[in-house]
Amino acid sequence: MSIPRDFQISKSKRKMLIELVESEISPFYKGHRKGAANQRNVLLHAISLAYKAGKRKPFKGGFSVFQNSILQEEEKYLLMAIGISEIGLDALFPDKHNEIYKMAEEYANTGIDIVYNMVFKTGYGDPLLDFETAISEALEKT
Amino acid sequence: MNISKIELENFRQYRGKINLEFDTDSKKNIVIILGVNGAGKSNLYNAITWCLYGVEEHSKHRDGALKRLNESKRNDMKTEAYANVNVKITFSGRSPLIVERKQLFVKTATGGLYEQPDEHKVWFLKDGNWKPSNQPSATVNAMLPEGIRKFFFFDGEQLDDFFKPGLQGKGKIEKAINDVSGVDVIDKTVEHLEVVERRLRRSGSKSSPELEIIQKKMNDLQIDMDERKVEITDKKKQASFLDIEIEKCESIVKTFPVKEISAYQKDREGLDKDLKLLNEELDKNKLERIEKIVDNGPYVFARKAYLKSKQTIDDATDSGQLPPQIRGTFVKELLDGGHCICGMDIEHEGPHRKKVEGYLRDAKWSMVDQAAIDLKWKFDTRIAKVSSTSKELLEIGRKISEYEARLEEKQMALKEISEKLKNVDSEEIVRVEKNRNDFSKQKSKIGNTLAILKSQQNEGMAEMKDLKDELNTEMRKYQQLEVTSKKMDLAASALEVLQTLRNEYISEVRDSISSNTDKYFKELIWKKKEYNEVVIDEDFDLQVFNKFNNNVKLDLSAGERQVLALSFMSALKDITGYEAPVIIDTPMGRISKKPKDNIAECLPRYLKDTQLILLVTDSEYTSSVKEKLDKRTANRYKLSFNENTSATSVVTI
Repeated sequence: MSIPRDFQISKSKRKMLIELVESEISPFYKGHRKGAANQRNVLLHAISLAYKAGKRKPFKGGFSVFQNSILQEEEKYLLMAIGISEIGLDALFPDKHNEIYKMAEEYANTGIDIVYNMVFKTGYGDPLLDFETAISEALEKT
Repeated sequence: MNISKIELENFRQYRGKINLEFDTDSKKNIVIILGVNGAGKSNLYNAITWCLYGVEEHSKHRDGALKRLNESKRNDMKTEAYANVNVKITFSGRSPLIVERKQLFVKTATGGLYEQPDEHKVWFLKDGNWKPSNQPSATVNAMLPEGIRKFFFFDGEQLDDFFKPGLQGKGKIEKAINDVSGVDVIDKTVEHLEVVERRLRRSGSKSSPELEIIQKKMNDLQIDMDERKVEITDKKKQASFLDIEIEKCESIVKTFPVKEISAYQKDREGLDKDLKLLNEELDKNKLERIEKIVDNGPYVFARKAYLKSKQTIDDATDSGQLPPQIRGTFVKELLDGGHCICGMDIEHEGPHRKKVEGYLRDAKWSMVDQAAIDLKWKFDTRIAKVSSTSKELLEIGRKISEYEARLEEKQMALKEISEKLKNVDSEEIVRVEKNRNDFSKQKSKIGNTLAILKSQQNEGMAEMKDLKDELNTEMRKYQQLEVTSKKMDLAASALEVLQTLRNEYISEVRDSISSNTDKYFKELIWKKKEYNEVVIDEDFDLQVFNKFNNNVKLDLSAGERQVLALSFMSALKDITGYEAPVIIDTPMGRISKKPKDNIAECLPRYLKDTQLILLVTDSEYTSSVKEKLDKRTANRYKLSFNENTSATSVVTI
């Protein structure tokens, strides 16, 4: 499978990503669980939420967040599901995999704003409630 | 490792040469050294620590080394005469050792007394012969490091310090656990790495004005963070002081001689305990909720993608596109061969060749048909999993609400108790309760300030991390700083790993000491059914839960506290892994008769595989205590101080 070595997002989003894993009020706070999967979790949420909102945008000047080789099987299938839903069964061909990962990066790049707003721009409420509500809505609508 | 012999010469109140020999074994592991106050027990203890480590810590003597030479010997010395102070200890066991420390004293022609530097010698047994050690201190430390000797040689009367309320007791417990864990090695490495990192940063930042600006920002931020750290420590101290004051107030209410009033405090303690457990459950569920959301969110939000992709695969299957009916390799072979299976010529362009080429385009799907089938199955499974997420979250949410409601209920009950106490028919209690409330309010305010300070400190740390990254990025622009930048990266990663390692390690050591203290306490305590569990929590607070699951640490009698302390010391000793004798000065000093007998009953079981040397007074070593210890006692000595000769004599009893 020909995939890019690193998963990248725009440099301008780096601060938001760090804040999402460093802040104790964030569900992605690194202290909640052991291991270093948090930044990846943020980006997977970003990809899915941006896909749901139908927003993706190419960017220049990215920085590497993690190596794609660390993605779990389930996470690769998620990218595949998005790929097939966007470009059809052609997404199954190895020469399209690079395009699918790029697409995921573009979704992540816009989606990180959505995640950030859900965590930090909800006033004084519990950010988790926003996620819970969004989860319930997503299940009801689809 | 056991002490088999102690030889003293002119040490403090021991005039001339005095020998104590011990024949302990696994069946008789106790040595009793009896003496009234001032007979020389503490100086025997000092002789041991001086011989091994060159210190007389457990001593009232702050009068310099000159008085180490026995006073009457000093007076009898003629001018220009010499006298030795000598302590020699023989250890038997797997690695026998002789440790000796001696010091020469000289009386000058004018009558002045001078001491020479002391001389430390150690011999170890090799091939049946005693060989001198080239590094006496290192050899002694290999047997029992000085940093942890206090868990082997200790004063029974000071053990109570562990259970002082508030930060004082917790601090002592935390320090003891840190000491035995050897975590200081990691701490020193962390400190060193921080210095290295700062030095690298400073050296690199001189290369450009941009770097200097970032460095200045980092320095300013560091000053802010250091100031905040001091403020946090101060606030913690204030909170600890308030804890003590609150406990004092509660203790007055609890021991008040009106049953109705003291019962309120007992109820309050029960409610506090319930609140703690409920909060723990609440935290557990909240974490579960976070995990559920973080783990499932992406799949739920992309559910449409799964459904759409699955439909695409289904449509392709229904239309016959998947799996392809003709294999691509077969069609390619026909085209290469130039003949169709029907015999038509397909070597040259024409409608027949075109039709067969069309089959090849369809057949490309053979490359991915299995992948599509696999994915369809994976998508199905994921869609099913995702559908149950909402229900699971709902169930966790229900539990959280339930715990929150119960917490509120308990808090209301606490308020009611406080209101009742403010209206009882006792001016003292009304005043005490008012004070308690004031202290609680102050503590709550301090708690809020602390939370803000800690959050600011975390933000500072995050900002520092950003600045470090910024500095690194800037430094990479300069080729000459490439190596420095890489070194900084390495130092930062090493620091992160070490901090995580330290926290995990200390947590494991604390858990192990906690469960061993619990084990020993349950073995030793006489009221076995009364106590449920001894726990050292994450705050290093030692708690004793009774059968009703109330924390009764503050209600323990002096005897029970002593047993708890001995259990804790034993657990600490275990974690060190060293096999050295345990020497306790006045193990039952402050304890009244009944608990003394109880402790004596349990002492033979305490550290039964370790040599136990007990320095006891007459009032501790009563006839009933003696009777209880006799079976496990190997040797008994009595120390007697003769005021006429100013010297202690030692006799076997």
